[in-house]
Amino acid sequence: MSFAGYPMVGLALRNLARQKLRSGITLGAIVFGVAGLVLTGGFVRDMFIQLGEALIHSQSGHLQIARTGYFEHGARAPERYRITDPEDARSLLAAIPGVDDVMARLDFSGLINNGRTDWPVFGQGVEAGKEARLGTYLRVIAGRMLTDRDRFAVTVGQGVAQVLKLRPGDQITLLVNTAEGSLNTAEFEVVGTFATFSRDFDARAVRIPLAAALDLLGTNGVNTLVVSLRDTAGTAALAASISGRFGSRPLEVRTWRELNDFYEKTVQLYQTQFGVLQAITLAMVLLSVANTVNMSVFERTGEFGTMMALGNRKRDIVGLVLTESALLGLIGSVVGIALGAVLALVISAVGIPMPPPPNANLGYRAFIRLVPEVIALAAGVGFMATVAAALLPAIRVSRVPVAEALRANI
Amino acid sequence: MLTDLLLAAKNVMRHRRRSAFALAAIGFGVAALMLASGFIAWNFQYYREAMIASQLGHLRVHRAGYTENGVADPYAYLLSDNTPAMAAIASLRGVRMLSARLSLAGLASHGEATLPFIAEGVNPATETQLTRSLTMTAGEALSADDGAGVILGQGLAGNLGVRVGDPLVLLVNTGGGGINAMDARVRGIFTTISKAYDDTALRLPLASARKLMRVSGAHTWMVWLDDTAATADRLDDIKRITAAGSYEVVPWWQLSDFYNKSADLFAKQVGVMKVIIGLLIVLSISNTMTMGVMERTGEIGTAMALGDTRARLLRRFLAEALVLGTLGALLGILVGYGLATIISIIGIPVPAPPGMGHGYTGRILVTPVIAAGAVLLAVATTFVAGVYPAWRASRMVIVDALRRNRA
Repeated sequence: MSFAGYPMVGLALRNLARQKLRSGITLGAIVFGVAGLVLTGGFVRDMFIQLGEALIHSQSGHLQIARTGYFEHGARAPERYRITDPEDARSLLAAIPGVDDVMARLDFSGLINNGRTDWPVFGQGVEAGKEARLGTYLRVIAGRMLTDRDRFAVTVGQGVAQVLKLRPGDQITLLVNTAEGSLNTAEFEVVGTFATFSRDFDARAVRIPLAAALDLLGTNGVNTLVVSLRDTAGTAALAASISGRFGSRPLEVRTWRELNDFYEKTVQLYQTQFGVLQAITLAMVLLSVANTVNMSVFERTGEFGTMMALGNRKRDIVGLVLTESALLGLIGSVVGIALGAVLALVISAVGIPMPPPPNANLGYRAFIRLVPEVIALAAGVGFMATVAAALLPAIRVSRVPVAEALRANI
Repeated sequence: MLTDLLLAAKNVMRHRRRSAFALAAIGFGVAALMLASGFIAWNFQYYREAMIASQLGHLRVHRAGYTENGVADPYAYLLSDNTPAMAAIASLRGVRMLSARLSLAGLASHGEATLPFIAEGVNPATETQLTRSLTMTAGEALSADDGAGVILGQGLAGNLGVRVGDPLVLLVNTGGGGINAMDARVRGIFTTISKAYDDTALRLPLASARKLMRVSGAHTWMVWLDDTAATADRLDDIKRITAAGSYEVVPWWQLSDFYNKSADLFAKQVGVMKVIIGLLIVLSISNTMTMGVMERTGEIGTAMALGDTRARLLRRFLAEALVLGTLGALLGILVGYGLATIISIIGIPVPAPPGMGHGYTGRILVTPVIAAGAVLLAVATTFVAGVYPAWRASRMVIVDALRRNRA
């Protein structure tokens, strides 16, 4: 091989050009296989990205800052875990590059009453203007969103509105425990109904202006500062740098991934489920490439017989077949990636309409992402499969006695 | 036609290697599609049965209008006990169990923590078989003898900070506008398929629930069947029985938002994957078929030189494709069933889905429909893939084709 290396490549190339049909068909198998892998991998990745963005923009933001312990035990007693000086923390956060916006939320649980019945809800006092900018996935079903001008107005989740038969303009009473442990009530006017990505959330969620919530609960602390970032990819790094700047303040930070148990679980589940399907695709590609390479080598038994009759040695045959396969694998992978990328771009330009995910109300449009790892894997598989598939038939064909191999010419 | 098939079969036998490659491509294709579809089908079935057993029931009977307005006005939609309709439903064929339930919402207090809950009063005596599908993570299931013993969803118990044996005060609004409370004790903690449900769920014995709400009767008769497939038939039976009174009957598929949505979405997502796998199979089969026919150009020339018409050649190659397709599909079914069985015995470990406390072991469910679909795709593809090369072969100029014999 060593001395024949360079001429071998030229010979292999000329062989490939000569055997147009066989080369074409083998290339076809590799190209389609590689493109198929690029598409499936890109599609699965897109599902994860879309779900993540939806969660960030409907509920959790990219990061949340709260008093240490709130995320662990806060649900039991949110009043005990409040950021007492929100303005200090807010200015600290706003100074960090990459931070797009910071908004405060105050949590409470209570009962909402429509005059006939009570319904337990989890409420939030929010800064309406900023939330509207973050919450691109919040969809108004009826009425309108809260605005910064509202005072005693409430928007309710779709589920809450359904259960209590609420429509914009209706009056409700909200009953909560105050910081001192006593009960406090206030009257609110329903101004709108919203839907988010999570139906469970919608069945329990109400939102009121932050000022009204502070009043109702008799406090001036907030529970969480929600941070939206310019770029989702930098979340983990920013979270680390933020918690480094807290110093002695009793604050902790959580990323959207940590906040959405749902997301991690869905990703894990999908990775397994779609992993099985991807494994089947991979096996399919391997077998299809191997099949074609095999067939093509055996169809040329006569040709190799002629070569051996002319004095070429077995290892020359094996070397030639492997070089040809490597070249085919290389070309096929490159063309396959190009085809996959073009298809991905075309499909993404159109988008695949998808129904709403579980726990959600809104459908979305799926795309196919071009993921470097997936592309590298697809190309690697295409190339390796082709070379590996050629190895066995090359050895077998080179072992056929010359006379017998020649007879295949007739 | 028979001669064509016979000749085709002989040709398939003669070209042993080429046929083997074609059969491999078709067989792999069929097996791959069977495994992919079978895995998806198993996942759907698993979800469905788990949801029905633990939460939904196959069918629910309510007072007419309960689904629309019941939650907002629970006291107006009570079903009375021991009516003839109830007995008639319980004695229908295929009904495993009928159990009355009462829904209530209120506040649960333990120490300083007070949290809203959504509870169901269930009949411990009849539902013992089913509470098993509520996985008890601590303590025991409900018992008819322990009126104060309630069980809590894991999330609710965690947020209240209670453990088995702890006291609990339950507070609800009664029908008259007053408030009623009861001293309860945590008897057990459970998880279901849905975490959101566990975060607010509480269950107590039906008798205690009635006492707490100061009512008799129930909101719902839950009906469980032996076989999920019979739901539609039983739905019709029950509608007939209850036609006289003001009832409404709700089958499980109208209830499970989670199931319906994940089924829709998963079907679509998996559909995209299946289309890609299907395309790969189609391409792989047509690739192999094209190559197989093209390699035989010389043979085709000889046949034409001996006087075979183009139509006859086309017919014969199509017959060969049909024979290969059928054999390949049979092979694929065998391989597919074999692999499905082996994989199902080993099991695919699947992590806990969202809303579910624990993972499960995935298997592959190959139904006749799935196998038939895979076979249809493969045979049709093989046939169609055979058309083009056969047509090209039949268009060849005899002299050129013959010359290939000497190449």
